Amino acid sequence: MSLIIQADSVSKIFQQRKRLPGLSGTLRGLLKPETVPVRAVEEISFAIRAGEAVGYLGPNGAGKSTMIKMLTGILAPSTGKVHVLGRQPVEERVANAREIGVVFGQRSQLWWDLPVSDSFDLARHIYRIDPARFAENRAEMVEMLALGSFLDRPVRQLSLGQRMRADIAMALLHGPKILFLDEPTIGLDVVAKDVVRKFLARINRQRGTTIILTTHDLQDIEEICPRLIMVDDGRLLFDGPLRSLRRSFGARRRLRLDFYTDPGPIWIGGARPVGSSGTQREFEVDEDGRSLIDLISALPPGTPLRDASLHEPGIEEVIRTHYQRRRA
Amino acid sequence: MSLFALSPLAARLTGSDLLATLRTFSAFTRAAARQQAEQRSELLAIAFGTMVDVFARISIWRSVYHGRQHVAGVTEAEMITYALIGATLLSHWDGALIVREIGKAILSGQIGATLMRPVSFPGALFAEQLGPRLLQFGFVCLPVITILSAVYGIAPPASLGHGLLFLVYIVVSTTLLFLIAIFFGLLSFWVLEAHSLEWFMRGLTALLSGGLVPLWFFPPVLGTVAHALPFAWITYHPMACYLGQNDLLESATLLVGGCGWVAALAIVNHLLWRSASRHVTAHGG
Repeated sequence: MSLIIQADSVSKIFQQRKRLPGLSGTLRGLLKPETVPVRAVEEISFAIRAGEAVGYLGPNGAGKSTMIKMLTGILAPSTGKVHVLGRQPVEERVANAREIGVVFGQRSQLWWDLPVSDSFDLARHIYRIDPARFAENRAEMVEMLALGSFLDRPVRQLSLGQRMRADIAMALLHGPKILFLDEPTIGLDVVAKDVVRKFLARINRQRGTTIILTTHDLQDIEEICPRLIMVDDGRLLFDGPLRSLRRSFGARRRLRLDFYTDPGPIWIGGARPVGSSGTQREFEVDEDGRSLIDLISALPPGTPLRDASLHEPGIEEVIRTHYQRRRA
Repeated sequence: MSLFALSPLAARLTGSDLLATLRTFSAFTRAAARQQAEQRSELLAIAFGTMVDVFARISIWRSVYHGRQHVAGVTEAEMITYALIGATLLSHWDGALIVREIGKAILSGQIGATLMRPVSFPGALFAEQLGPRLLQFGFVCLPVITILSAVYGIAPPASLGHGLLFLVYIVVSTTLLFLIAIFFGLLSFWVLEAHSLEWFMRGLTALLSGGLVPLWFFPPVLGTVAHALPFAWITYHPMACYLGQNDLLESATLLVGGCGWVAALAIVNHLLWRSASRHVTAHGG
């Protein structure tokens, strides 16, 4: 599969006006404004192949939306190069816009007072979609996203979940090769989130549409994106399959042992005791591929073991631990 | 003669491209008209407001004339016609609202979503404004003209030729008003305070278009300057044509002058928009 998105050492620096305190500061700021550079994205490189689904994850202010804006041609990189479908998006914004679909979770492209179907018709003209193809795509979207019951309702009367489904459908009517989604599940309830996630995963698998989505919600990534790009403070922290994240961040499995009677101090090679209370003991286990049985076999013979369990750390926990460590 | 045909961007388009572009814009116009039609109470309020506005203008002019046959060579009947048609078909549209729209789009960041559509932003904006404008021609301006002309009377066009030219003048007037609004709107990319620009434009237009007071009442120097500025083609020159203040040849020549302003402003706006979009892509709006 060919590369369709490339970012090479991309940085984006904004000049932010410095606010000086007090009246004299206000006047000085008015006469001679001072600016400070803010580095929203720093030296980020990655490449995405056609048909991939990639989650772009990071806390608020990590530079996620800035990167999406550079990929869609709304922002020019300060240094470095971005290529989408062989073009530099800023230079060829209109040509780029014809081949991509974009959904901003917090900004709708639908016409507020008009029925959803009217916005779809407008999209047909904006993207110059052939009528037959439009009819086919529209029918498919209506069926897959269950839009039928509210197609004729004005957008202002829709629930957030319905509106998001309609927005996603509209972004796909022209059959874009890439779909960018910025926080597509933000504010949705559990059921609506589930519908959106299942749909995106399906569209990626069945149509081969490349998906890049930014999110706070790790479950979005677990269900849609086999690959994760994680950023923080403008920098790339991790790029790879979700399952490698734990190892890459040095996250350890947790072994919990439950005994009939207090066994006293217990030592297991390659496992660090992290807690003990009464008849329970907890350990952090090195990532050396040992199974639960291997670990239990390492216990001294005759230890009164009642139960044992080995916990994989959740992705959320891994990331939370990482961010907390960074802030500390 | 339209903005699209004159824009340098359009010059690079092929025939079928141009047709597709026009089709896109007309889809915008239709959607915007439908959106306006949804807001019936707003349309009613606009109709009522326009009626009061035109009634006030006519009353002022009637008290100015008060028994006199002519003021500055213009009869009372002509002046009432000027107020009636000028305030409905020509300077009825508050173009400064576009400035507010652009300012809002920049501050809220919506401008980003707009840039993501493969259409020209100023073109789509014009098409969107044109929808409600056309609807208002039919549902506000014509009823107001019909009702008030039944009460106060209305002068017909000076001749058939003047009447036909006047129809073209309406197109030029609407296009120029839009181009001027876009010009001020685009400035808000740098000023970031669209309010002041909106008021500045509204003030300039009210004064220099002859919308409130025809230019023939202006002091000579200001009158001469105002005659040449593009604002004059919004209300004054079209009405001067309608009332036969100039002969046909002169009216036609002035119309060409108005088209010249359309072309010049379309080019200026195109360059300004290019520079504005570069500003957005560099600074994030």
